[in-house]
Amino acid sequence: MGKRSRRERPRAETTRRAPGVEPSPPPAAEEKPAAEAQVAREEKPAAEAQVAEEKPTAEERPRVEEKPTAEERPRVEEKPAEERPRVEKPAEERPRVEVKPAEERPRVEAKRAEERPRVEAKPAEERPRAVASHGLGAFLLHLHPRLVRRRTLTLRATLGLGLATLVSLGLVTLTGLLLLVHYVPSVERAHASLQELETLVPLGAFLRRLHRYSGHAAVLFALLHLARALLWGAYRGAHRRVWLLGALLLLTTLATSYSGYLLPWDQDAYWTVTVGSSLFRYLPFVGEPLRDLMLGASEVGQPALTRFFVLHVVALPALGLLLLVLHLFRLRRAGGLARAPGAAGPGEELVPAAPELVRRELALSLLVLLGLLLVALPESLPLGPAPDLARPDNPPKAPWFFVGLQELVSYSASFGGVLFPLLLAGLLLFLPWLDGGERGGGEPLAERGAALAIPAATALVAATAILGLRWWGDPQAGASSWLNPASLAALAALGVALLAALRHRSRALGAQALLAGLLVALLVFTLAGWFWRGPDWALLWHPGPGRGLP
Amino acid sequence: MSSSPPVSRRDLLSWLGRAVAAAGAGLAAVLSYRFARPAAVSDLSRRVAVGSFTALPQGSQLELRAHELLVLHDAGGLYALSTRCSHLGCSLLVEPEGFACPCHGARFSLEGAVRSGPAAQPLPWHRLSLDESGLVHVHLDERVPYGTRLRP
Repeated sequence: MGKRSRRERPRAETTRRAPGVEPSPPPAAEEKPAAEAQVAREEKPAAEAQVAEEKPTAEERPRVEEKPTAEERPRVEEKPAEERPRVEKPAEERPRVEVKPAEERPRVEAKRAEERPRVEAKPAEERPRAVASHGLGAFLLHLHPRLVRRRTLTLRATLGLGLATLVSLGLVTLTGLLLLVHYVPSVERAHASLQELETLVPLGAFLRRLHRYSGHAAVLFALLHLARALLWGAYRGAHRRVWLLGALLLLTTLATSYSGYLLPWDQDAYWTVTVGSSLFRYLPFVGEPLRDLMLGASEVGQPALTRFFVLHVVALPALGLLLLVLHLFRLRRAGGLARAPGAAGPGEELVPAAPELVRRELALSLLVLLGLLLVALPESLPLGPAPDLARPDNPPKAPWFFVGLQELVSYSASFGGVLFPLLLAGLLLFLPWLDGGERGGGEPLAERGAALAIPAATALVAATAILGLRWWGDPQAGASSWLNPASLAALAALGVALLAALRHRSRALGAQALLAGLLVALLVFTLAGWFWRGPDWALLWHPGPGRGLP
Repeated sequence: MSSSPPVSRRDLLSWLGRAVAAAGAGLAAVLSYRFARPAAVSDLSRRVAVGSFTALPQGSQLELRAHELLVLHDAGGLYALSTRCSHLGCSLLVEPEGFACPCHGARFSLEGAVRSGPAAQPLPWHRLSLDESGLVHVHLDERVPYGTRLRP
């Protein structure tokens, strides 16, 4: 105890400013103005000098301490300096000003007292206490621990993709709320209401683009976020449930995005949903009832539009919000943002989450926001024509994140449309349990052998998929339900994964390679569907985008 | 009472509580499904008159795009088949030698047999009937076996 209190003395400027005040707040209320004013005018340099003197005396202090002290102290002291002028206001106001510090101080002290034993070895790291006990700062404590490792702050640790997803989701929600004001979910009026939005409503077209693009961005960032977590092995150990919730959140985001596709009631909308809902016919047992629930009729019509509207606007966002909260909660419980356990070395020292982390997050959020605004600014994304219920475009292309699925079902609906996606989704959800690994999350491809196995899986699967396309890519080429580019690519992924698992005696590596391989296969088929498919879904080997961005 | 009963009262009540909660959730799910299921399904006979038999000479074909329907007259007689792809429901394009699906590349012969692509089933044939005034009707919700043609 004695040691600790000696050590703390230099850090508590607040304590020094009003010595002996804290045990008995009421008398302090009268004495402090003078004391504080004094600090403001005279004691400040003196205090600093004193601190400087005291530093050498504390021999046991670790090296690390000196940097933060030098960095932190000026900042902490400036804050009181801003408040001080207030203290010199008329006497009536004084009590109010003083009561606040008197209340806050014990709380801050108490918090520190709780945490002391844990971090005792590094007292210097406790010092940053710029986290507020109220307002936004306190709220952020729900998301971040008070202290984070310096390494967590580097871009390499997380690539900032989770936050980018979060920002996109926030923006898509806000713009969606605004669009609701003008949109009419009726077969007769939907398309016209969007035409009005585009032509008559100020900023209408811009908001629609912003909504569409931030939805796309949310899917894209979520996919990249997933790939990052996969390659970094960040789904292992305590982060299992974080991963599971994140995977569910990704599926919910995809479903939300898909359900939004019907709402404009244009040519793309009608045919995307006609095809998508037909896929359910191939799902045994639950397929038909699910399709009935989705469409509310035997065809895509007003009941389907109503149901998709409800799903898109209320049900799925509510589910997504719940999953998001749980995802963030579990992340916090699992120890916060990416960090490798037990690693020593540079970057392991603790720094305050606010402002170090929060400031970076704010910067990244603004960057994402700015990017999305810039993308949505120029005119693009014209509203499609009203649907021709008898004739799809040739070829009709699904939204980009489903073009891979469209390519897969063009081999076989039951394999490509049901089996492959279900396998992928199952693997996605339960990867951490199949993997069984405990450590990971610090570095990309840190698992033994991963740096070889994952690129090998990627290359082999991609090559197999492309060769498969070459052989059976054309509808006339005779791909069958079980022997087609997708099954071949899946086999290749399985093969490499097994090989890696056996060679390195690591189930974890096998699981990681399998999911990586399947995702690469999906990526190849997405590119093929998007660039290489022409009229009548014929394969064109000279790449050319279908019809611009969806 | 013996030292430790195999199941304590607290455990039993806890399990009962969970069972009741699970049953309640299951019941709610079933009722919600029954609520949300399409309530009214039209059972009106879906029949379309396509014209008099004599107006459809051998070799002719008549496409009714609104009904996704094609009526053909070949050497064997008159038949009608659906032009909705049996794969995933896209409308087929009618070509001289058959049908092509723009969505996923399925190909069908003029009789609806799968020629290539992902479709597993042939195109369904609809029942045709002649009324007393010589009009040909297509029954959209009635299928006939492959090859069933209408002859005068």
